Order: sequence, then C-alpha cells, then structure tokens
Amino acid sequence: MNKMASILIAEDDDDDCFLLQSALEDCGITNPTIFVKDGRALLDYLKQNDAPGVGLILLDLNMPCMGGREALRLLKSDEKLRKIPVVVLTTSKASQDIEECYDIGANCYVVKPASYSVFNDTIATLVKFWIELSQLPVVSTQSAKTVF
Amino acid sequence: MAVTISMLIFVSWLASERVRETASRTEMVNHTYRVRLKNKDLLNTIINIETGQRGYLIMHKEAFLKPYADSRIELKTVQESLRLLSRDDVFQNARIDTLDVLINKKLSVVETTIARVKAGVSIDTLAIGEGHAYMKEIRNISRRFDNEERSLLIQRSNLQKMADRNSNIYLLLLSLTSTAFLLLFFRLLYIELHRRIKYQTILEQKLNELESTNTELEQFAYVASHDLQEPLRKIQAFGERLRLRQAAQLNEEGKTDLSKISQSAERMQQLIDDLLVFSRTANLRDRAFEEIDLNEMLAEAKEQLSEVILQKKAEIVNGWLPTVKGMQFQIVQLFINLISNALKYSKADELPLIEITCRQVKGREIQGVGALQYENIFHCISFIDNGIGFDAAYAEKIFVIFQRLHNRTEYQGTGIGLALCRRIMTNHQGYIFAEPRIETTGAIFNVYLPKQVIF
Repeated sequence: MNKMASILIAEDDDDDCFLLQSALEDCGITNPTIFVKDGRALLDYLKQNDAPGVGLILLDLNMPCMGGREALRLLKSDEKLRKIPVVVLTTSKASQDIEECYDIGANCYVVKPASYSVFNDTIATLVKFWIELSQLPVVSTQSAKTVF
Repeated sequence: MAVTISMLIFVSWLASERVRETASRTEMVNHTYRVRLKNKDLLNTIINIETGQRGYLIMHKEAFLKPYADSRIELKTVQESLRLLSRDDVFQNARIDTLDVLINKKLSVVETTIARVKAGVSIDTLAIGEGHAYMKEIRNISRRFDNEERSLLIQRSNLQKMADRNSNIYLLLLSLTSTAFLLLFFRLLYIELHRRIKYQTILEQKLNELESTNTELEQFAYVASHDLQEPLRKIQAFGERLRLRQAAQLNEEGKTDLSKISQSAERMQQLIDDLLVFSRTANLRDRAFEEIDLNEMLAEAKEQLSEVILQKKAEIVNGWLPTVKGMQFQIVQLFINLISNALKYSKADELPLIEITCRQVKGREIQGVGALQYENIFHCISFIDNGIGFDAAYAEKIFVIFQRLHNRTEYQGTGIGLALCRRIMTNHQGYIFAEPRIETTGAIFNVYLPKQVIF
C-alpha cells in the first residue's frame, strides 16, 4: 500500500527542491512525488478528485502567499485531510516554531541540515521510517469536505 | 549661604536689642509715674493729718482724730517708699530731706495743738499760724517735686516713643531679611529641583531610546542572520555535493578550491551564530536578577568544560566566591568564556594552571569608574592563568567584538568571547579588565561585580 502512496512536497525554493529530489532519488523509492510551491497550491492539489492518494506531506514553513503554518492549520482541521501525516521540513530551529507546529498538529518536525551529506542521510532516515517502517493511511479525496 | 545666615543672626540681635531698649524705657516711664503717685500719697497723708486735727479742733470728738491716727502710722512707710523710689536722683533726694524736716515740724505743731485741745486748754493761734505756714511750704516743695518728675516723664516718654519706633523698624527689617532669605532659599531649591528633573527626564528618554535600539538590533540580527544563512546553507550543500559526486572529475587544485569555499562558508556560519548570541545577550528585556552562588556557577562552568579540562590536563584552583544578584545563565557563560580562553591560550610545554581568587575593593580602585561609584563596594574575582599572555597595549582591544590577537590557524575562534564577557558585565552593573602578568607569562582577568545592584 505504501508503495502506491504519493508524497506531496511543498517547497518554494528551487534549489531546495532540487536537493530534495536528488536525495529522494538516492534513497531508491518509487513513490510518485509531487512538488508544489506554496500552501495554496498544496490544498488545491488535494482538492483534485483524480489525484492519487497522498500518503505523506513534506511541508516547508517559509513559503510566499500561504505559508506552512497556515496550510498546516487548514490541513489538520479538515476531517478527511487531517489523517495524512505531515512532516515539517524547515531550516528554523527556533523552539517557538517547533512548539507551534506540534501544537497545530504536525506529526513530525525535522530541521534541514546544512551539510549535503547529512541532509541526504536525514532524508534517507525519514523515508525509511515513514514509507518503509510505518503504515500510511489511505486517503480518498473524492468526498473530501472542502473547507478551504 | 553662610553670609546670609550670619546677616540674619546680626539683624535678629539688633532687633532684640531695640525691643529690650523699648522695654527698659517703658519701665522708666512707669517708674516716674510711681514716684509722682507716691509723692501725691505723701501729700495726702499730711492733708489727712491736718484734716483730722481740724475736725478734732472743731468738734472735740475722738472720732474725728481717726484720719490723723491712721495717717500718722502710714507716714513713715510712705516717706520710706518715696525715698526708695527717688534714691537715684540727687535733687529729688534733697527735696525729700527738706520735706522730712518740714513734716516733722508740722507734726509737732499738730501734736501740741491736739494735746492742748484734749487738755481743755485754749489753742495757741500762733502755733496754728505756724502749722499753716509749714503746710504751705510742704505743698510748695511737693509741687516742685512733682514738676521735676513731670519734666522727667516728658523726657522719658519721648525716649520711649523713639525706642518703640526704632524697635518697630528693626523688627520690620528682621522680617524683611528673613523673608528675603526664605525666598532666596526656596528659589535655589526650585532651581536645583528643576535641574534634577530635567536630567532625570533626559536620562529616562535615553534609557527608552536605548531599550528600543537594543530591541531593534536583536530583531535585525535575527532576521539578517536568517536571511544570511539561507544562501550560506546552499553554498555548503552544493559545495559538498560537488566534492562528493564529482570527486573523480576534480583534480587536486579543484578539490583545494572547493574546500576553501566550504571552510569560508563554515566560518561565516560561525560568525552569524556568534553575532546572534551577542545581540541576544545585549537585550535586557528578559532581565530577571536572582540571588546566585558564584561557587555553583563556577562548578557548572567547570562541568561544561570538563572534557577540555581533562584533555589539557589543566588544574583549576579557586577560593571561596560570594553570592551576588545576577542572571544565572549569563554568569555561567562568563565563567565558561574566561576559563576556555585560559585553556585555549595555554603554553604548549606547560600544564595550564588557573587560579581564581576573590577580594573586595572600593569603586575608586577600578580604572575608568565614574566618581559616583567611588564609595561602592565591588567583589573583584580574578582569573589568573599561566598561558601565553598578551601585550599590555592590547588590554582593551581584546574586548572589542571580532578583534583577535592571533589569526585563525594559530588559535580557533571568532573573537566574540571577551566582547560577550564585557556585555555580560555591563548587564550586571560591573566591569571587566585584563592585564598581563608581571613576573611570569600569563594573563589576569579581573571581574568586578557590585555588592549591591541598583534597579
């Protein structure tokens, strides 16, 4: 089941997208990955009824227009969508950010390491845990209540 | 001030003298009245004697002698009183003498006459005539006496009036001087108060400005560091990626260039982190002073540096340290910075020895302290090491942020440690100074913490 779930990634910076993609490829996963640039695009994607089931969301916090926190809040208050595990993947190590995200309902908070090799290892560990170790939910977006 | 007070005392003295003079002049006037009264009394007494005699002469009844008898008893007393009252006046005394003589003569005539009437003998008209003549003379002298007193009274009254007027003038002068003094005093007080309020207002304004500037600085530092770290991270990430994935294609020169890029990025990261720490320490928003035992702080610092201390086989000796008011986190940081510096700049061929001592000093012993602090008591905690020391000329330079005396390859670090120490000391209303040791190599860092803090 997990192998079919797509990973939805919200990240505005092109270079970070590139690094993330490269790291995911190095992990050897076959799940489809979708990249969006901001919170609005993230939620719009989830609205689409023909989207393959999203099993995991990687969320950056600092995005233009609708940022990560606001998107997280909307995700976790929606009946259908709050099932999807959200991993906040950001550069900020500020304790107030960490507290706030967990408070809103994030499933995980990971700080993007600066070092390339450490970053790759982190992504590999993350992927191993969520895709290979844990069970992801099955989410049908067909009858998703649109609150946004 | 002294002049005004002595002037005030002088005028008070003058005024009181005038008042006393008025009182004594009034007394003299009263005295003259008393003398005149007594003189009249005397005359009355003689008249009563005569009346008694006359009554008896006419009616031959004992009852009519009563005035005579009573007055005879009184006479001596009145005479003595009058003499007492006029004892200072020579002329009046002479008159009193004359009166005494006349009175005695008159008395003997009266006595004789009365005796003759009592005996039933006819009166001696010659004697009566004598008696009458004496009476006339007595009245005469009495009148002259009175006239003398009256002119004296006029004189003294005038003097009294003058003295009264004088004392009024001086009392007025005194009250004017006092009022002037009071006005001057209050004016000076008001000016001083005004000046103080003005300075206090300026101080408060400056304090507000400072607090807002510090807050702005911290916000700026946070935002700037965040935005600066973004591209920095990319440099490090892609630099490393290049090194790892293109290792085969890179020659030695390429690899070296790449590593220099990476190292610079790392250094910049370090500087940004240090800058953030510094700006956070400078902001006093979270100031919460509490009683802290410096011995515990030192123990904590040694605990956090335990690895380095062990690795360098360093020995740290400390005496008893006092308890002060301060921010625990910052004091521990201060101790860590000072000890880690001493360990870092130790001599290669000698085991590091750090002595930490404490003594109390007065404000005036601390260099560059303002006069207001001269009498305040400070705890002076000295960190004495046997490391490489430094040139006394750089004693202040080392406290400037990012200023170093060695380059990075000799000793690592960004040069923020001591700047942070000084900032921490400023937060605690204290001071920190450094000096090289004299007899041997090494450095002494003197940390001054006030015994009592002002909020």
